[in-house]
Formats: sequence, C-alpha cells, structure tokens
Amino acid sequence: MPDHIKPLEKDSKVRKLSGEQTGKSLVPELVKYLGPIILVQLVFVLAPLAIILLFSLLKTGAYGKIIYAFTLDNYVKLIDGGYGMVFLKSFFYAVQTNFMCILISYPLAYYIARYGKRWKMFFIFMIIIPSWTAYIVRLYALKTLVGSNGLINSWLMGFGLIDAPIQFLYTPLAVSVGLVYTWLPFMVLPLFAAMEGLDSSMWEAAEDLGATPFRRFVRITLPLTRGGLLAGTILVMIPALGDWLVPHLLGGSKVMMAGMVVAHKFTTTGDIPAGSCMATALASILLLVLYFVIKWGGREALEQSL
Amino acid sequence: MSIILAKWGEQPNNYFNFKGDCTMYSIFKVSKLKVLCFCLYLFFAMTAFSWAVEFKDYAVPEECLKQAQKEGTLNIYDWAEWWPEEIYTNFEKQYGIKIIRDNYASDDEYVAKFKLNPNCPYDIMLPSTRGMIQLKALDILQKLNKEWLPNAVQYLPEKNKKVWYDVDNNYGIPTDRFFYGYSYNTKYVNSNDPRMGSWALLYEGKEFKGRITMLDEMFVVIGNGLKYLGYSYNSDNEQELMQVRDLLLKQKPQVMAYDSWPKRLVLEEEAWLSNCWVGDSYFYFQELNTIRGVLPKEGTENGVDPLVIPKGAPHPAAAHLWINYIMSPKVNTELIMGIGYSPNHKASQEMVSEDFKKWPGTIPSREYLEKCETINEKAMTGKGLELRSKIWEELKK
Repeated sequence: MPDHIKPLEKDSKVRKLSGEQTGKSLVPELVKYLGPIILVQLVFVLAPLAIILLFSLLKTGAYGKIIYAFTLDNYVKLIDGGYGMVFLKSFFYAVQTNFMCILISYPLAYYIARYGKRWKMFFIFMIIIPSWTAYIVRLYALKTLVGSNGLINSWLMGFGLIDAPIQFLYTPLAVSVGLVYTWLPFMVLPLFAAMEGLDSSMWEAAEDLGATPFRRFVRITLPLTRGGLLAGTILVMIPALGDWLVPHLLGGSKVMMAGMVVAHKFTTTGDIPAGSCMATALASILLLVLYFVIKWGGREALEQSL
Repeated sequence: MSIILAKWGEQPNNYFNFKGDCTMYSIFKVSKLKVLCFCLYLFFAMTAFSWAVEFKDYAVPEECLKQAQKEGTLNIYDWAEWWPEEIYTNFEKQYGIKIIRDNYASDDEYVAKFKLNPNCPYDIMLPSTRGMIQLKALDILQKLNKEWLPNAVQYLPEKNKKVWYDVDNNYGIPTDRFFYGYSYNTKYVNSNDPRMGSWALLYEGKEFKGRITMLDEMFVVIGNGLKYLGYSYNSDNEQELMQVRDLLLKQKPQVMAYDSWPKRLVLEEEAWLSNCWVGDSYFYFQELNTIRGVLPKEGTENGVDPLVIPKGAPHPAAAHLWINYIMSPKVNTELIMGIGYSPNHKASQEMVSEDFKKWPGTIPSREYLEKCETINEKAMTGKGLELRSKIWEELKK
C-alpha cells in the first residue's frame, strides 16, 4: 500500500456499530449540542402543556376554587356534554379557511415566483408587512372597512350602486372572511418558497414533450409543491381551529368556536379544570391532524414550514 | 369650591369698579362698594362655611400618609377606559405617588388570574359585586383598616353596611352603584312606544332586527331575562331558566352582536337599542344627543363597584390613601359625573348637578330599589351556575 493513501477514517456510525465508541462521551456531547434546545422545549413547550394536563385532572369547588384532588369527571362531562357540534363547526371553519387560503395563495405564489422577476421581493414584502402588525389591530382595521358605515359601504352608496348598506359584520360570512384574511400570509409564504425551488426547465421539458397546461400542473407543479402546500396547511388550519378572536370581534360573539368554548369555561363559568380539559382535548385533536399531515406529506412539509 | 367662590367674588367687584369710574357715583363709591363687598363676603363665607361643615374632606392619619409616601408607588388593576384620566393624574400630583395601571375587560379575567396566582402584586382592584363575592370566597381580600379611611366611614350610606357578602364594608368600599338597562336612539326608536320603559322592547323588539346589541355577560343577560319574566334575578329553578332560554333563542336573530362595550356601534348609529349599564347611556349621550337611557320598570341587578385590597398588596398604605382620596366628596362627585353611575356616597348624591339627577338610574327611587336584587350564591354556584352555563353555550352555538 503506498504511503500517501491512509486507511479511511471510520465515521461515527461505523465506530458505534463496531463497538469502539463507549457511551461515556456521548452524554456530554448531547448536552453540549442539544442542551439549550432541550431546555427551551422543556420550559416553554412541555411545562405549560403539563400544567394544563394536570389542571384538567383536578376538581372544582364553589366559586371556581381549584381543589387539588384527582378526578376524571371533566373528561366524562366533556364526552357527554354535547360539544361535538361546536368541535365540528370549528373544524368546518378551519378546513374552509385552509381551502380558501390555498385557492387564493396558489395562483398568487405561482405568479410571483414565475413572473415576478425583480419585483419578487417587493411583492413578498407587501404580503409580509401587514402581518407585522398585531392581529387584533388588523381585525379592527377590517371592521372599519366593512362596517355598515365603513369605507366600502359608503363608497358603494356614494356611487349609487346600492341603496342601503350591506350588513356584513356580525354574520357567519364575516367570520369566514376574517379567518382567511388573518391567516393568508402563512399560506402564501411556504407556497412561494416551494415554487421558488422549482426549476423552470421542468416546465420547459414538459412543454417540449407535449404536455397540456393542465397535465403540466398536475404532473409537475402540484407534486413538487406538495411540501409547501402541507406546510401552509400546518400553519393555517391549526391556528384557525383554535381561533376565538375572529368570531368574537367579527362574528359578534354569536358563533361559538372551540377556542371560544375553552375561553368561556376559563372565564365566565370560572371552571379552570373543565377549561383545561377542553384545551387538552383540542390540543390532542390538533396533534392528530398534525400527525396525519406529516405522515402524508413526509418531511418536506415540516422543513418547508420552518 | 374655593375657586368658584373666588371667581364669583371677583365679578361684582370689577363691575362696581367699572361703574365707579362714572362721576355720578364717585361720591358714594367707597362706602357703597365697601358695604356691598362686605355683604357679598358675608353671604359667600356663610355658604362656604355650611358646605365645609357638611362635606369636608377628611385626611388620612399622619402615619398612613408617611408610610404611603415611603412606599412611593401604587399598582392599580382596574377596568380599561372607564374612570376619567384626571382622577389618576390628580392623585399623582397631590401625593407624589406614582401610579402603575394594569387593566381588565371583564370580571372573569381578574378572577381567573387570582385563582391561578392568589399573590398577584396589585394594591388596588375595582371588582363588581360579583367579582368581589368571588374574590372574597377565594380568600384573596385583605381586611381594610377603617382608621385609615375617614372619608369612607363618614360618607358611606347606612344601607351599605347591611349587604350580605360584606357586612360593615370590612373588605370593600363601594364607589358607585350600577343598574342594567338599555340605551336607544330617538332617531330610530319611538319614545312613545308602549313597550318603552320595559325590558320587553329589548328582549322582544322584533322590528329592530340586526339593530340590537346585548352585553356579552352571561349572568346579566340571563338575569335580566328572568326579571322581565317576573322571576328572581338569581333563580336556579330549571323551569324558569328554560323559559329564559327560549326567550333568548327567539331574540338571537334580532341581535347584531353580544358586545360588552358597544360604544362605537351606538355612536355610529349602527345599533339602535343597546343593552348597557344605565350609566353608560349617559356617557353615550355626552357624545351623541339623540341617545336616551332606560331603567326598565321590572327591575334589574343592583350592584356596586367596590375598591378592594388583595392580600398580596405590596403598598397597602398607598392603597388606603387611594380609597380615601376616591371617597372624598369632591373626587367622588367628579368621578360620578364622569361615568354617569348612581352615587353611593352621602355627599356626592347631593353635589351632582340637577341635570345629572334627571337621567334615569342616577338617583333611583326607594320603590325602584326594592324591585332590584343583589346577585348571590344561588346564581353563582351549583345548579344556578350550571344551568346558566348550559344556556349560554347553547345560545352561542
């Protein structure tokens, strides 16, 4: 064997498999590299969830006093409390919001990514900037726009297009529109990122091979942006399912979504354990949704959403 | 008061000086002026004296003031956008104590907060009757030191000392009195409507579809519905409550929104009939003169907004100083006139203006008070609470 060729250094996996690496040095290394993130996860993610889970197993006394004794009553009440309709309705709103967001964002992201050229960044910024303002402020802004005496109604009346203002606020439609309006940027961005990653030569090749625009879309664009689509779904559907500010502000508190039931239990009824129990149930459903999305979309979805 | 006196005192003086320049009066000038001035002085001094005797501002003991000034700050936790801003700034100016404020938007918000952490570092809170009952049941309130509250001892009406949840006002000093009712806009709602003056217009005003707002408060909307049907505000009778449920479900299509602070909707004339604390209708009226308030004849809840000190308060002396400041006749009158609520103070119920007294619900009659009820544990716990919660959830579904 010539001198300048040294035996290949075994990588860590090989060393571990061959039993050369003892477990001793692994722990400090894990602490060194993963310690901070584990700490953050423990304090800010796991601890609050654990507290909610703990509260959901406690009893409530008169005037909502928390009694530190174990019980499963809250869960029993939840199951036969007739909350199915509320959960279904929230689910309906969330799916609808997601669907509308996809319908609006897909062409938007496509056109920006393909034809935006040097304006690309400008357009993306125009989408991002509104989401820098707090979400509640944007909802109030929307309220002044679409209210009975709002800008849109007064313009329409000014041009003589309608005689009486259109009552839009405080209807279920307002809730749907508000939800789409709030969560739209979170769908556009991952889709845009996915579209950006597409090589335009793919489209050219498809065109050269005689694919119709529809076929091109179904066979090339859609499968390659699936990750972005699912990432957007994670970012839109899950928060929309737990939303309660939109039905409160735009729906006039007339529509009860799952998030509002939780808030109602926590505040008006003053039953914190029952509220925690509902929050746990809601979180479990969301986890289930997340699980299926990731299972179907694989790792791409998660990576795109980060 | 002294400023007004000074102004009034000056005016006649100037008047006579001006006249005195005319030669006709020049001979009598001195004597006439002197006599008149003396008479005026006597008159005003006497009125001022009588006021002073009746409505004096009692200062806190030296010991409390010293400790408060050493503490230096006061953490207030109260309603957002309610009391006039000057009340806070004047206190800061007068005593050199810094105020740090934190706000809530509903009774439930602070109760939930204290339930999870009974030692929240607030010095002063302003719950409603319901909130105070809950806080007291959760054992969060501090017993007040009455020696440090001379104004409260002097000016609280006797009937206040008999309330079941706080005998002798040991835990809270009520600053005002509230009633529920509704406001309407005379442009759209006929003042001579036969249902005017009753809850009927609000709960069964079918022709005002999409023009009614209700408070987003479970106990209030259900309780007033009970009152309208002729039952007790605190009923826990299932049949009675189910009747209210039907009433509310029938009303829902007419309701534009359940909103606890529908000020914008009322002032922009989007809502014509609006369920509110009667005092708020006075507040709206200041900005839009077609608004009127109604105190429904069937009765409603009769509640107070007491100032309380939680057990974990880091600045108790400053908190007592604040309560005494709010209960001084001048400040309390200013407060009541600012928010439009009914005074609960021996002095300020005399001192408010005549126009103010004419507004419904500001000085209610004895007979009316007898029709009203204070909220109690029947509505707030057990079956009463459970049924109310269920109705509310069904209503919002």
